[in-house]
Amino acid sequence: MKASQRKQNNKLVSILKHLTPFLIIIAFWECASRLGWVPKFILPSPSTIIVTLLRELFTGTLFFSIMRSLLILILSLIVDLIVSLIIILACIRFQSFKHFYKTIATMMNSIPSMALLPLIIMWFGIGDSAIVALVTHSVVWTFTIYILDGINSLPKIYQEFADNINLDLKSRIKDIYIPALLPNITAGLKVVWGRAWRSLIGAEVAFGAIGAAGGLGYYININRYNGDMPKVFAGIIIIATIGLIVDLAIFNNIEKKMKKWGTLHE
Amino acid sequence: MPEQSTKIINSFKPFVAVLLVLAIVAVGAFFIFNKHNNKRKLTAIYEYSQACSVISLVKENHLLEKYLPDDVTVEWTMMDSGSDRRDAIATDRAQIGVIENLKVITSLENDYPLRILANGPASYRGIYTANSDINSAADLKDKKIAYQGTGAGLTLKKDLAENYHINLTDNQLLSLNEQQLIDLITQNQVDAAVMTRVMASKALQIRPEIKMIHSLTEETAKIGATYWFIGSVSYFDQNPDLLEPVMKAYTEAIETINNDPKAVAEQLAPLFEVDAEIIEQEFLDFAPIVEVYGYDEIAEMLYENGELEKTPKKFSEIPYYESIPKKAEQ
Amino acid sequence: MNKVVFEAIKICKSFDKRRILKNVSFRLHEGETIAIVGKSGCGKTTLLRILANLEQPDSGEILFNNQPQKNPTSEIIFIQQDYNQLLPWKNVINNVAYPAIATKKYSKATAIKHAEQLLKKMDLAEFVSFFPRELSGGMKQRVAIARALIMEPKILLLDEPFGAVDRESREKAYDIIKKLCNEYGTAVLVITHNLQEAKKVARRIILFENNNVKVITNKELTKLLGDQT
Repeated sequence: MKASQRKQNNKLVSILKHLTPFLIIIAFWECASRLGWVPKFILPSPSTIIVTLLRELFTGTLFFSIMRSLLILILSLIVDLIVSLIIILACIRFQSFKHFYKTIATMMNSIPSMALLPLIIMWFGIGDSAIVALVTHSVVWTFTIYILDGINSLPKIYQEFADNINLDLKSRIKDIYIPALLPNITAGLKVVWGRAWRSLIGAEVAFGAIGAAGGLGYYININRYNGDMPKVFAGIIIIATIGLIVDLAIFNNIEKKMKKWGTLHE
Repeated sequence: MPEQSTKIINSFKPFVAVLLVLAIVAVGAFFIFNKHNNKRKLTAIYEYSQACSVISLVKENHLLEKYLPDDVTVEWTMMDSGSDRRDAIATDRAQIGVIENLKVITSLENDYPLRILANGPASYRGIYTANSDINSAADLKDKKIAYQGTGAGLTLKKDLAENYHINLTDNQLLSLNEQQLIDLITQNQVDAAVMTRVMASKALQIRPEIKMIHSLTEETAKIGATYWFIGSVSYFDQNPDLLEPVMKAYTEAIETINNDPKAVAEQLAPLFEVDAEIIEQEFLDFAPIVEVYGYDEIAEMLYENGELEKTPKKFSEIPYYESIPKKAEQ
Repeated sequence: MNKVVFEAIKICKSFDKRRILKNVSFRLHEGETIAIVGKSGCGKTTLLRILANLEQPDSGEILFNNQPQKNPTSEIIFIQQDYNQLLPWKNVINNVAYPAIATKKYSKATAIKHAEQLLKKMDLAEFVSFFPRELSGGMKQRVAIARALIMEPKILLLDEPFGAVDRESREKAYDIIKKLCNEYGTAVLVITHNLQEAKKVARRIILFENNNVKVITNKELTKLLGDQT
C-alpha cells in the first residue's frame, strides 16, 4: 500500500472512530422513538428532526432566523470590540482608571445577563439596541480583563526590543503587541463568543420576540409555544452547529498558528 | 500539581465518598417510601387572571377537595405561561389546567397528549394605548403592538386588516405574557397593546392615561371561548374514577358564577387585584359554559393563517372526543 | 587608536540601598571589543542595560559620539541573555529583516536580501524559514545578533549570549561575530563569565572584582591569569 493511501486510510479510520459514539447514540435514539419508549412530543426521532431541519432551512423561516441572530451578534461584537479597545487604551494610559475599572468589571461580570434584562429594556426599549446592550454586558467586562491581564504579562523583552530600535506605536501594536497578545485575545474571544451567543438566544427566548422578526431564540420559542418539538430541536441543532463551525473555522486555525509559533497557552 | 494540593484533595476523598453513599441511600429511601405511599395526588394549575377565573374559584371554594375521594390530595401550582401549563399537563407533572384554545389545537396537531375536559372562559379584548398621539385603530399603522396569546394576535391582525386596511408585519407585533405586556405598555416601550379588561385595569393603576381605542369583542366573539379546561391523558387513563369528581367541581364553579356573578367577582377581586365590577362585567359579557364549541372553525383559521402546516383534524377525530361536553350542533 | 565612539562617565546605580555600580567609567573605540567579566550578581547586566538606555543610572553620564545619550537608539543594540527574545510569530528571515523594515531603514526586498546574507555568514542559511521554537538556544542567539547587525549599529551590547552553549559552538559563534563586527565597524561590549574567553575575544576587559571595577588590557589579563595559575 502506498504511503499516501495508507495516510488516507488512517484519516478515514480516525474520523470513523470519532463519529462512532455519535452514530450509536443516534441509532439508539431512533429506535427508542420509533418503538415508543419516549413520547415523540418530548423527544422526536432523529430522522424527523433532520427532515424538519432541512425543510425549514430551504423552505421555512429557519434560514432567516439564523441570519437575523448572526447579524445582530456580529453587529454586537463589533460594537463590543470597539468599546473594549477604548477601555483598554484608557487603562493603559491612566493607571488609576485601570484599578477602578478592574473592580467594576469584576463586579459586573458576576451579574447574569438575564438579571439585567428588565433594566436594559427599560433603558433601551424593545428592539435590537436592547440585545446589543445585553450582549455588550456579557462580552466587554470579560474580554477587557483577559486583554489587560495579557498586557500585564507581556514579556518585557519584546517591549525592550521595540524601545531599543525606536519602534513607532503603530508598528508596536501591529507587529508586537497584537501577535504577543493573540493567546489572550483568542482565549478571551472563545469565552465571550459563548457568552454572547447564550445572551442573545436567551434574550430572544425569554422575551418572546424582541422585534418579532426574531432570530433563533425566537424561532425556538414560537415553535415551543405551538408545540412543534421537531422545529425546536432543529433550532437547537443549528445553534450547536454554528458554535462548532466557529470553533473549527476560526479558533482552531488561530490556535494551529499559535502552536506553530509555540505561543499557545495549554 | 504541587504536592501539598494533592495531599489536601486526597484527605477530602473519604468525606466525599461518605456523602455520596448517604445521598444514594436518601434517594433510594425517598423512592421506596413514595412507592409504598397509597395516597394519590392531583396537581392543578391556576393563575389569578380572567382566563383562569373558573379554576381560581374551584381553588378558593375547595371544590376539588369536596368532590374527590379522600385518598386524593390536591396540590395547587401557579403558572402564568400557557406553554409551561401545556407542557406540565402533557408530561403529567400537573393534571388539570386552563390553556388557550389555539395552543391546545396546535399541540394536539403535534401529538401532545392532552384531553379537552370542558370549555373555558372567554374575555373581552380591546386595543389600549398610553400614547397621546394614537386615538383610534387607524393610527396604528407602523406602530409596535403587544399582545398575549395567539388568539389575541390573530384577532388583532384580522380586525385591523378588514376594518382599517392595516396589514401588520411581524416586526410590529410582540407576543408576551401578561406581566410583560403590562410592564411594556406602562413604560411606553410599545405603542399599544391588546388587553383584557382585567389586564387593562391593572395597567390603569400604574398609568391612568391609558385609554382604549378599539374593541375587539366582535372579532373575539367569532372565535368563541378563548380557553379550554384541559386534563392529562395518562393521569385520567390511570385514574378514570377521578374524571367525574373533577368535572363536578368545575361545573359547580361555573354554576356559582352564573348564579351570582357579582358575589364571585367580589370574592375574586382582591386576588386579581382589580375592581370587582370589571370581573363581573366579564362574566356578564361572556358567561362561562361547560360545553366546548368552535373547534373546527378555530382550527381552520389557524390553518389559513399558516399556524398549522397540514389540514387539521376535525373535532370529532381528536382523542377522547366522546367524553367532551359539546354544544348541540357539534 | 580609533576614535572614541562611546564613553561611560562615573556611572552609579543602587538597588534597594545596595550599591551595584560605583563610578564606572570607560571608553569604547570604534570597532573595538571589550569584555565585561565578573561574578554573578555583581552588576554586569545592569551596566549593559544602562548603556543601552533601558535603565537610567542614579548618577553619571553616557556619551555617544561625544553627545549625551539619554534614550535608547538603534545605533546601540542590546542582545539579552534570554534565548526567547526573537518574535515567535515570525520565521528566522522575517525576524532578522523586521527591524530594518519597521524602521524604514530598507525596503522589504532589500531587507530580506541583507538578512539572507547575514544569515549565510552566521551559518544559518538552511534555517531561514524555521520558526524560533524550532531552533536551539545558540541558534536563536545568532539570529538575534543577525537581527541586530542588519541595523548596522555602532555598538553591540551582548549579555552573555552563549551562556549555555557548548565551548566549541561558542568559539565558532564568537569568531563569526568578530568577523561581522569588523566588517560593519561595530564596537562590541560582551559579558562573559569566562576569563579565557574574554582574553580571546577582547582587547580590553572591564573586570568586576570585590566591589571594584577596573579596566585592564588583554596583556594585563594574561599576566593576571598567569599569576593565578
